[in-house]
Amino acid sequence: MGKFEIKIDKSGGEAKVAVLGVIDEDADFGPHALTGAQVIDMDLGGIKSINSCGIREWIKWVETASGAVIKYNECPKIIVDQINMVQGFLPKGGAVVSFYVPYYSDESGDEKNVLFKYGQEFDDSGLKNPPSVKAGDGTEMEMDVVEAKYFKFLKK
Amino acid sequence: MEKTKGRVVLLEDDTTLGNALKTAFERDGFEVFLTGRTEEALEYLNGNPVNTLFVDCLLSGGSGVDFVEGIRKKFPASTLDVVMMSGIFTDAGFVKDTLRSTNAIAFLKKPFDLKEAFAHINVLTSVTTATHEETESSPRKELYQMFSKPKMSVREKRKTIEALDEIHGFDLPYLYSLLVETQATGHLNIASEKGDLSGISFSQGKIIAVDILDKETYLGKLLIEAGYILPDDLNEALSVSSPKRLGERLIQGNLLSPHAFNIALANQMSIRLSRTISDESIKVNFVATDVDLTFPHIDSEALAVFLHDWVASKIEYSWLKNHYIQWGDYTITKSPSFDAKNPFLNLPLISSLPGFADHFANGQTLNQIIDGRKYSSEETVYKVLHLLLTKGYLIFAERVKVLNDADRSKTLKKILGQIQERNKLEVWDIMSRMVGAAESENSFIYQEFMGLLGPTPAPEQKELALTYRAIKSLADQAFEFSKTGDRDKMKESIAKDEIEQQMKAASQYDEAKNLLQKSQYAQAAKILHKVHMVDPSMEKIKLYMAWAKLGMADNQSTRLQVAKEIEMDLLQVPPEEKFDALYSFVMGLYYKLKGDGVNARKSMEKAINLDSNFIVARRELTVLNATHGPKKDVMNRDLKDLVAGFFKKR
Repeated sequence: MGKFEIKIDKSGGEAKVAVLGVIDEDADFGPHALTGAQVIDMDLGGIKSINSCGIREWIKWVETASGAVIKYNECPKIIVDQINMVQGFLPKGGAVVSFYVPYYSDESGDEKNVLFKYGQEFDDSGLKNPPSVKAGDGTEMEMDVVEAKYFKFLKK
Repeated sequence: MEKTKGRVVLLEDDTTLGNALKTAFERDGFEVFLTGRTEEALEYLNGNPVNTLFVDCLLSGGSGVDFVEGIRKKFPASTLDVVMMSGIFTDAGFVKDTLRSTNAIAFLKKPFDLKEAFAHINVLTSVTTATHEETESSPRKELYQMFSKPKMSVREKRKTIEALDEIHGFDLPYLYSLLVETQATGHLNIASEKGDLSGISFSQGKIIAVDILDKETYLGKLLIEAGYILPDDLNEALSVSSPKRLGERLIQGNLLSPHAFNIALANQMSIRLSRTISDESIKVNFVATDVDLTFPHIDSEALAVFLHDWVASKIEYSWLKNHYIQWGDYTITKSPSFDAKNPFLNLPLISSLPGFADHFANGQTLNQIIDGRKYSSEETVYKVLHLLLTKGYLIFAERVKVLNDADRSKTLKKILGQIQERNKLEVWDIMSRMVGAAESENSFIYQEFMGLLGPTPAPEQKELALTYRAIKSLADQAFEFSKTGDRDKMKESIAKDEIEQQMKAASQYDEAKNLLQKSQYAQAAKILHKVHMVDPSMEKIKLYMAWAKLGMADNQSTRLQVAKEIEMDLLQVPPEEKFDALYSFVMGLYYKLKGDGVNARKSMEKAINLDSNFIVARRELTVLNATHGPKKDVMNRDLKDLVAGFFKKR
């Protein structure tokens, strides 16, 4: 299982942050306070799982960036689910820049995660141009999520 | 799967009007069959369930009125809504006669506004038309559709779970059971209405950890209650200054065995799980991920017993009653996994209804079971049914397709009974529970609820029409209300009122407890009943009520009857309260009532061990010792205590 890890690269008022691994009761955000940066660009693509203890710790951690603009990149489904469900998981003034959408083919059983990017597949008004995704056998794949639930955060 | 709101047939030979209506209805989500020929319309009706039939009175091939009169035997008003239309015959006498002879719900005079046409079909839904698969659905509703789909694949079940968002706290036992049954591995995250978070971790279908906000460990109580340690052992371990956890300290001090500690930890998990089950709307998501299997854990077998306790003690009767309204006309049958020898069927709640599952071999519906009044406690029937469905031992089979007026009237009256004399917020909550949807799915709830009612009764079906209109009026008001911000304001206002009432009830509760200490049982029982009405979730209320009842029974000749009642009452005590001194005390009184002095004394001793200041328990023990005398009676000790004795360190 992926070990919890945070990498922070600060330059001027901007911080690039990558979060990886499992976020649970053992994840220690203590040494990684987000104070000082005006813009925080987070890469969340390496997160493997998160439980309720991890969610609580996450909320406390992002609060340390008070006043900063936080951007979430490459959010996996488990993170999108928390953004939709837990108030404060995406702090006020935060924005999702890109996130993954699971696709599935009934015919072939293929599964794919497709990255939706701001300005391309979605924008402030919601979902724009969902791409056509093909399975290995060329058949059309369908989004493997309940759209009303999964894309709810776009309306926030 | 194509989703439609239902089907509409347009029997109209004016193609301009016909196509305009067809386009409008299709845009609104209906499947529409347009024809000018009566035989084609009949053929379609014979092959497809239909919501509403629109018929022109004067067709080029004959009379629309005659056509409808002719099909009424096969398609009575209770199963098919008909709307008659005409641009020529519009005088009041003709309209009246046509409505009577065709049992139509309305007569539209051409030209009419599209809104008028929609007014007669928008509220109609799928009851007589679409199967469950054909209706629009919601994730929570999909969850309970599993009650009628025993052959769903594990992937489909997991996807249904992953799709869940807003559910009710009382859905959790079923959800836990499904996650265990599907061998799930991952974390179930739960957010309460207030935003509090809790979480359950699963590994290979076993519950390995429960995280709740309430950090009370219960560990000391659990260990003492089980007889693994004595209060002095606990005090000794607590008095040692150490960074180690209590369990480690007890084991290190040779006061407790690691095995006994694991049993206590599993019980601790079950108590924490129990605390997640509450009467409120919650949000959930399941994060499928690798989780190591650790010990102790709760497996399917252990969970079955907890499910029983939760359904018996936590899930409210009124919630179950509303929840199963939508399934009332379904026949129930045993699933392939039903096994008459399964020990699950011997759990107290189920065994209290002998032969319950056998009814369903005869294709009885839930309404027939309830209305048949074979069992005195309707509440127990609902709870046992819920348990057996949750475990997948019973399934809903087929829906009775055509209800006669009398049966339909009974069902509608039941629904009306539930929503009458309630405020709009309560009506809306009940509607959402009846259709199995989350409270925020406004249009879906309304549409599904109207579907539950069935087609609009014809004016001739007087009693039915009256009940239908009364329900519809309340539902319309609640629907309008649900769309406004007033709903949140009302929720807040009700919450404030409730807090005031609860504060008042809390002070009465204290008064009742004092009365019990003074052995004034009848008066205490009266007050406790009032308190229970205000707040049935008040901590330990069931235990205090049982105490009062046992106190009164002490002077009655109906001891055995009371003992039986108490057995059922104690089933309603939530697991987290069963490790309290009061529970042991009440058990002591129960054994005393039954004349079982040995167990009565043992229970009193346990109560005193858990709370050394429990004066009334000490008093009872003194009396019991005087009347029954302390004996070393190994053969009469129950198995749990014998096992506990093996682990007890002296």
